[in-house]
Amino acid sequence: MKLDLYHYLYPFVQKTDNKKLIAIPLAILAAALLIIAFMIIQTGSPVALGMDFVGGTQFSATTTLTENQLQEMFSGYPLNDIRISGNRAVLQFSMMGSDELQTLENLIYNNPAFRDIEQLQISPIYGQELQRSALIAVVLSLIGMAFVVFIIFRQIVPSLSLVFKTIANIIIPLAVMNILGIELTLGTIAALLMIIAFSVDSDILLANKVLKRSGNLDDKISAAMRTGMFMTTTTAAAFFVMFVVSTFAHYIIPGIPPIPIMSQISLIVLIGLVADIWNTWFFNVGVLRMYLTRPKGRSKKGGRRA
Amino acid sequence: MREEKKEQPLYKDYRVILLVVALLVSVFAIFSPVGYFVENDGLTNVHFGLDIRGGSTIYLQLSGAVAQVGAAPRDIVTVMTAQEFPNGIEIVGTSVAENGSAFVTFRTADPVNQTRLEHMFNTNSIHVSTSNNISQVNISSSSVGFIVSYLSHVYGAEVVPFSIMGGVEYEIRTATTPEELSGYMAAVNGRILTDAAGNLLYRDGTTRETMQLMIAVLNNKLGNGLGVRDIPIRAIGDGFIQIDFAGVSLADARELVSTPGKFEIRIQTTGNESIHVLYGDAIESVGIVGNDPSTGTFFVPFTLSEAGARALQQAAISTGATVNPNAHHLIMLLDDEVVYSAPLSHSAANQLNSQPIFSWQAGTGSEEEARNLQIHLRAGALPVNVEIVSAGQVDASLGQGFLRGAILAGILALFAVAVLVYRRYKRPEIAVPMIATSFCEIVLLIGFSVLIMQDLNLAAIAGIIAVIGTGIDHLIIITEEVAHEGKMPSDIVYTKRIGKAFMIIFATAATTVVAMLPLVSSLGFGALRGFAIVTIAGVLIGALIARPAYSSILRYILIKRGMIDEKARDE
Repeated sequence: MKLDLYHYLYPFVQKTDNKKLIAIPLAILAAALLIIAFMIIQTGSPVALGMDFVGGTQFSATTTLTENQLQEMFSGYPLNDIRISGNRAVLQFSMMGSDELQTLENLIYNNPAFRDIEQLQISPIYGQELQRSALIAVVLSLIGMAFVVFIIFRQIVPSLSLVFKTIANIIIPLAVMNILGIELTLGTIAALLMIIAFSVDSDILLANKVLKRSGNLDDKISAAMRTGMFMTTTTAAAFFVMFVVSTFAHYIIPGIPPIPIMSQISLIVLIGLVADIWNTWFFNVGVLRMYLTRPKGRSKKGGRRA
Repeated sequence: MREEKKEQPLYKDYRVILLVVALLVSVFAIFSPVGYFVENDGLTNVHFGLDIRGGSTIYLQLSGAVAQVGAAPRDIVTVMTAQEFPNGIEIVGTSVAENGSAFVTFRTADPVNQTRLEHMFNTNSIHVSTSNNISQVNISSSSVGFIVSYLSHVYGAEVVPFSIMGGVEYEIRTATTPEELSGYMAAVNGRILTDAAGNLLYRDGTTRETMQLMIAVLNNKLGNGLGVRDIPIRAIGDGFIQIDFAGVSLADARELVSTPGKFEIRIQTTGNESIHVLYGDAIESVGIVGNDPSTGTFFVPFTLSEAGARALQQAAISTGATVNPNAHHLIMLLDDEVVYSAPLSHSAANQLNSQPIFSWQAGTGSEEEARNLQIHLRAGALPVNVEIVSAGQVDASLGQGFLRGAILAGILALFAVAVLVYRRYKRPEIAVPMIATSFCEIVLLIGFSVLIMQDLNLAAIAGIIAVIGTGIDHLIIITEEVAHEGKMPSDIVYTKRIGKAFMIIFATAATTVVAMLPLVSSLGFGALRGFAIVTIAGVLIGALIARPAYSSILRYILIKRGMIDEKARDE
């Protein structure tokens, strides 16, 4: 049995018309944008913002108490959310005054029912500052990436196609986050930047083969796809393992707690990597094939640089 | 052709030598018992982040604003003295000279308290002449001085002017808004200045200098409190400071940040004896270090509260310091340690005989001493009000668990990648060097992080695992570009192909570096800086050291095994 995705996808890419090939990723992107638009209308934000960005106080602890017991224990405090996975509980509170916070801290730290405590507290002002910085970071990262790509390719169409696809690669995870109810945190921002970085890998390989070398176009695409898909598979494998260990290991190994930041980063990068498969091998291949086989005459110099 | 060719042995290949040397340096850095990077706890010198070592982090926001404003001294004097002189004043003269010095002369029918005016306008050049119950008052200062006095008066906070290109910036060391400042300026017929595009010259936060001073003061104060020398304190943007407390609970960390150090001024009586004069709370403001070009000495200006100034006057008179200053030094202590000791100047001693002094200057021999004194004077209070805007704490036991999880994730990720690589190439000649190279990259990266003293927090470890992912990608490109079908081509084709492979690798590496750069800059993410630095370093180490060596080793092994592709032609 062939496990390589390449063997299933390449025949499809080879026989499908460029326009249809491009239409599939565009349709998925449109769906993602719809989900995000719906979210913006409902909440004013493209994706639910986590505590890092809205402020509040969060405690995570190892405990045997049940959700009901916790609800009751903290009924006098502005408890927003309880999440329990295995023996680990995460309690989120809204912002409170320093006296109230102190009694809450005493209640938690002095109670032997809670072990291995992690606390995070963010004021709404700082959360807003982080939102602003996060947006700037993502935008700067995209601009920097686009700049490097234009320098490397020196051709408008392939560069634009790659930049467009990278944006799609970060929009789709945002939509999936809305579906799965994952909140935007600092970890997911790191993941989005990582997706921007990873997105170009297989495309530079592809572009390098089809734009800068001579030979049969189908063969070159096939070779790039064979290598590129394998690259995506290995990267995805590393992140999949990171996701499983940081999210589920505590069910099997009691000494290893869930690691939220690694779990967030790996999950979002994984989604981005999966989106990258069709955005590269359907969308970008479609665009490049149209670009390279376009009727000559419009550009006298000939776009093909063999 | 193959038989004639003599392959260069691997140990002579500079790429392999570079990798070996880098590996030795890394292993040395990780395990060495000596060096600036040595970490005392733990088996290795790896600097783990607080989320692994356990401890607390506090983010402080500095309340303050920096703005350029303009207003006339006469309007300032009229408004500021409105309460002092209920019958009002009549301005009889005012002038602002080209060099910035300015004076205002006015008449009033109300009684004049010269000391209070000196305090209010922070100047000793006030002349009062009274005849027929009408006083004529002349206040000499500078146009900047009048504005500083006015702003500190309305805000009840310290205001510090900084000269910049083409103007003066006023740093208001308390929370404000452009609207509030505009309102205050309008009251004296003044305004916030605008730039050529019409934007207000106003920003929240503090100047660079004040941020540096804040960090120095915090370092001094927290270092004393914890008995350590250097606490990681970092500026984040213009208005935030991040402080890491290893092994300290959040409650203790908060306490340390919000409790000022104990600053005290005493006056020597006889020998080692001295009497208490005042505590740090009597110090209202501390100015910036100045120097006196005529004597080559430096000084730190500071002002005392009314009560503080009177206490100092009384103590100076009762100890005899006003008569014989040299026998009765003024001693400053911070947390009971002497930080300054000097006699009163003769002019000050004389003046104290008749009235209290609000504005002081502590003279020192060198600029460094002055800067240290400035920090010590500050230890009573931070120069700018701060608010804890974010805080976090991780139990040490939890951190250990995190580390176990992160290491397990790293090992399993490498293993998963190894299985995939072996499935694909089905030959240990390719799979083993590939995985070994990936492993080397991790060792190099950890060694590098030790050498640059970069903390590895959980996000940074996620970065390391990400580097395994990209690293393998690039090794796959080398393998599949060069050794098509697992065979080595002839020399010429090899050179061309390896060039193409590295073009791709450098292009992708450049993109990763650029994509991660925004997180390295001072954007508000202390937490993600390590992640970005590790990812960038990993990509560069891989592209410049590990992957070139891999290409040499792969070539060597395949040629040794006779896996040569005789038919390969240039594409």
